[in-house]
Amino acid sequence: MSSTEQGTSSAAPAEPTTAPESAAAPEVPESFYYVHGKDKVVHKVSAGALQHSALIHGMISNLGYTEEQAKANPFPFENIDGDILQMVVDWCNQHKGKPTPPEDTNLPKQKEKLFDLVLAVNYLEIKELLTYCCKQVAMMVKGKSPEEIREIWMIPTDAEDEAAEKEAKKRAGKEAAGETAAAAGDAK
Amino acid sequence: MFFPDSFLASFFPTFLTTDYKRMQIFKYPDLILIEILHNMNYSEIFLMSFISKNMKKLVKSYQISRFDRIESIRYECYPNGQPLVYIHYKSSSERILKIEECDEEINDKFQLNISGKMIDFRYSDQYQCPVACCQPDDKVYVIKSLHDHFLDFFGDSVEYHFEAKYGWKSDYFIIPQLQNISICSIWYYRYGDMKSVENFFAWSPVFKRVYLFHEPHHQTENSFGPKSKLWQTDSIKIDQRNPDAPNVLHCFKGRQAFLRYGSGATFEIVDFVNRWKSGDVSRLEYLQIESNLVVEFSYDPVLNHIGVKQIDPEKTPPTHSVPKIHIEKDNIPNTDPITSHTYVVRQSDGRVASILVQGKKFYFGVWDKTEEEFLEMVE
Repeated sequence: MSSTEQGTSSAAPAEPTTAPESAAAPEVPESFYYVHGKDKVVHKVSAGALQHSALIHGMISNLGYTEEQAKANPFPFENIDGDILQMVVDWCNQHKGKPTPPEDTNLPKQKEKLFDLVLAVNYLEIKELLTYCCKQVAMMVKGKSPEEIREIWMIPTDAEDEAAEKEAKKRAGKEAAGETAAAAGDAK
Repeated sequence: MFFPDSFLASFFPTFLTTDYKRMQIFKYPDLILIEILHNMNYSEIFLMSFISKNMKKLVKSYQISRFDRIESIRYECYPNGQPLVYIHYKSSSERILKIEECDEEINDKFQLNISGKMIDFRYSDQYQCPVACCQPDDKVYVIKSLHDHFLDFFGDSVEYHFEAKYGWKSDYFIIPQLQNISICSIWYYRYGDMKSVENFFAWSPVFKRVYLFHEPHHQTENSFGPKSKLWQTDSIKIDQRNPDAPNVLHCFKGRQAFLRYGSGATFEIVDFVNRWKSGDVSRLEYLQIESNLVVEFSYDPVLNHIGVKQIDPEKTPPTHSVPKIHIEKDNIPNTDPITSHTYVVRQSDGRVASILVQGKKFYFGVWDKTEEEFLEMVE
């Protein structure tokens, strides 16, 4: 289970509260790590839950943090929105040490949230969650007309693609001309 | 040991440098795109391929391995006049498109550019696939456009099947002339269609496999001519209820024939075997004839008129079976085995054909062996 607190990653975070774990073998205390997103809210996550993320799991193994070091150095994911990171952490906790079900109905339905979640999950290398998310993204366009799909997935029309290509060529031409002029100026 | 935040941040490269709130699917990493497309069925993927040129390229490049599973694309034109398009893969099939007559009252139509032609579509929850909406006269044109799209997509890597069933009403007789169709199945029941079907064969390349079911009223008016391209088909299956004698045996120049007739056609079989013995019908490797006659009947008398030879009844003859040119829905890969003591020899090259008669069934299997080689296989 995780808990959150408001803080900054540069300062040592205050002690996060931890929800009671279910009765587990007391002789092997579980290690915890700390992550925060763009909003600097620190999430305390168990190593078991973090095993879902190949990226963080690899980091943990390589860094060899002690509990104190982990607490003092939360992993900063500055480009992941706080609420998205919260979703990821919650999912990792919910599925800690459990086989993942074939469906996950708790994923966000809003387009923007889902897109963000997909990117975050892909970056954090959480394979099972990525599979669910991609399925959800695919479901978004089921039974939709091409115009609706275009809108949902922001697919440009052929005309827009051609215009963008022309614009890119024009820009590249200008840049090349600018470089040539600059080189000629330098030569003088 | 404590690490500054900047040090830790160096382990996490910035991956979201763009405004990802306005993320386009094209900006997703490859892995994500593959995973998303993996979760879509074929009809959805094909719909995606119609959206834009870039999307078509994307679908093509990311789905190559998935398209490799596709064995064939089948166009089905049934008597209701609403053609369907299926894809087949690994003994399974999926409906990907439907074509129906346009209903002006439907509001949720959308237009797609299919091979340069603008076609109205709607999505059918009932059929779980896109539906091309058109006027009755435009169906052939729509099928052709879709076929061009698939040809552009798959080229020759898949087989294209055309399957049509026509009832007594002539309203829905659709027989488009499509390139690269290799397999066709046609059921027809009425007068007047023969000309269209004949034109279809004349225009098309030689088929790998043709299945015909027909009930013409009068054979001479409805049979295909001896020069019809139909007879060059590699594998032919004909189910004919006509009690008149068939002309298939006289005209067929392909390799495998599976015939079912409403007559005995014994005279035609005798004529066929004698022509085969004289060196005609050189490509044939397998013939199976079954009579639909309801009365008691046997092909046994045929054997008295074709100069058969017999293997010693005490010995075990070899079994003839060849891979089918086209494997049907029953998934049986080889022709029915022919284990028979009866055989005939071709005079021109000494090749042997095993002959088996089982009541209303007549089997003829050609060996690529001389009589001497054939008899060496007898145990």
